[in-house]
Amino acid sequence: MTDIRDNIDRANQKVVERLCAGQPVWIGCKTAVDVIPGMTRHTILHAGPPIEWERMCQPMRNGILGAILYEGLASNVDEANSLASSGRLTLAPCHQYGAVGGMTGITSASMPVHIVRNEAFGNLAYCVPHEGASPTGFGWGTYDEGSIRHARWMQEELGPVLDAGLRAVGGINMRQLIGRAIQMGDEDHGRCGAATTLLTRELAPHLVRLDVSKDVLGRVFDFLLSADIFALHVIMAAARSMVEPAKKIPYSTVVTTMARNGVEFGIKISSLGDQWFTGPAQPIKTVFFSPEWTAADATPDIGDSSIVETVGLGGLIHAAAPAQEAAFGGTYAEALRKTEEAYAFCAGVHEAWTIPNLDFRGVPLGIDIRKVLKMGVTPILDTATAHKDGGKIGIGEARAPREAFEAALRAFANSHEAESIDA
Amino acid sequence: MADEAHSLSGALLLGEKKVVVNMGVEVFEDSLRRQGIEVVVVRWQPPRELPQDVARLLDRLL
Repeated sequence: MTDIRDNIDRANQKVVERLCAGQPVWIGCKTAVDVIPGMTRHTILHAGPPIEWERMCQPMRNGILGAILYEGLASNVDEANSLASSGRLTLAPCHQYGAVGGMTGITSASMPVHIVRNEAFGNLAYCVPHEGASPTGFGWGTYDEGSIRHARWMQEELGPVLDAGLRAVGGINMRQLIGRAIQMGDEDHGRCGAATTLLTRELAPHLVRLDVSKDVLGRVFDFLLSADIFALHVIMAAARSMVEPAKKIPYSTVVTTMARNGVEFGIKISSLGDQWFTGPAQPIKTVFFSPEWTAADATPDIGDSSIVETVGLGGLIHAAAPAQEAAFGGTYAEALRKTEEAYAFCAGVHEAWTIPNLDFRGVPLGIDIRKVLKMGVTPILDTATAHKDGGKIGIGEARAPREAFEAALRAFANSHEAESIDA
Repeated sequence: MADEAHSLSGALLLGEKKVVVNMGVEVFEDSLRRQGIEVVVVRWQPPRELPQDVARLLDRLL
């Protein structure tokens, strides 16, 4: 009789192979309602596992209010509040629609979304563009006039220009680009300067040949060059496209999703498909932008960006981005230790994404919930910090809560009860 | 036994190259390195307590 451990190990290798085989290509940036299956004028997507309006943190509520006003579904904040709590809108996780979103993750019908196709498997994934250098915006949980105006600009100028540029260039292979960015010192979550530079370089010759005014192009380039982090949301869509084909492999205990909504952190594991397993969203170890803020001002961990850790980037590979560690006052030795930890709880490595200073070892890939629990060490998630009332106030890192991994392990065991696993 | 212990400490004090193994608390590591002493660091912390049912499951599944 086969030991269940052999079945699990084989299944986990298969998941690692599927993740590794992913060929994400950034192919477009189009209006959400036109491209995301199931999206309607009354759908607003949010980050993390499912959560009702009443339990949402304030930044997420603010982002939804902003989206309602931006979409013209209400004419003032009071009306927007009534609509949000009325049950007449579909409020759902981005993940449920094949998408991901940064911080609050707010995605509504008229917003542009990056489209990434996993060419190896044919599936698509989506993510709203990063809002740039501003500490405000729906993603950061604000809904002031500036946030709404910026969302309109992204809809009217940024999205169409990026989309036309991507058509002209014929798509950008994100598997290759991420691999190069890692070699240039990105961990591709908190630090995306290399990836943003590479993307801009790919796009630039095509953008300048488009039939658009110099003013529009100038604003697009100003935006792209104003924030090193622009590439993150393309990378997130790439990661989202990679995890889908790795789901539903029987017996696998590898994590295929990690996401937070500011109240709960949730994971999915391959063998259990799209079931969520949650624990409390954790406090973020934050470097605040101003001494006026402290941990008491911060929202707990929030956003779908931890999809990048799910595919071996970000907090799993500080060794590849010592400057990221240094930004938090850490040392290279600490960066190495964190990455060694990740190797210990992962089922394999990504053969195409390698870390030069680890003798070109592939990045750790395939977080195995069994190993996480056995080690007592959960993955590190690089992140930004939102004020409890909205607005970006810092950057930092958080640990995933072990409760989510325990819940997933219990559910896994229950699903294999017939094999007489002793619980 | 006493002689062996004595000669071991003598070798540590007088040997050309000293290597210190630092287990657990990491604060000692930096000060030893600053003194030019090679340090082998063993990351160690007391094992975290797992819920009993989870610990039992891990025994069967890992």
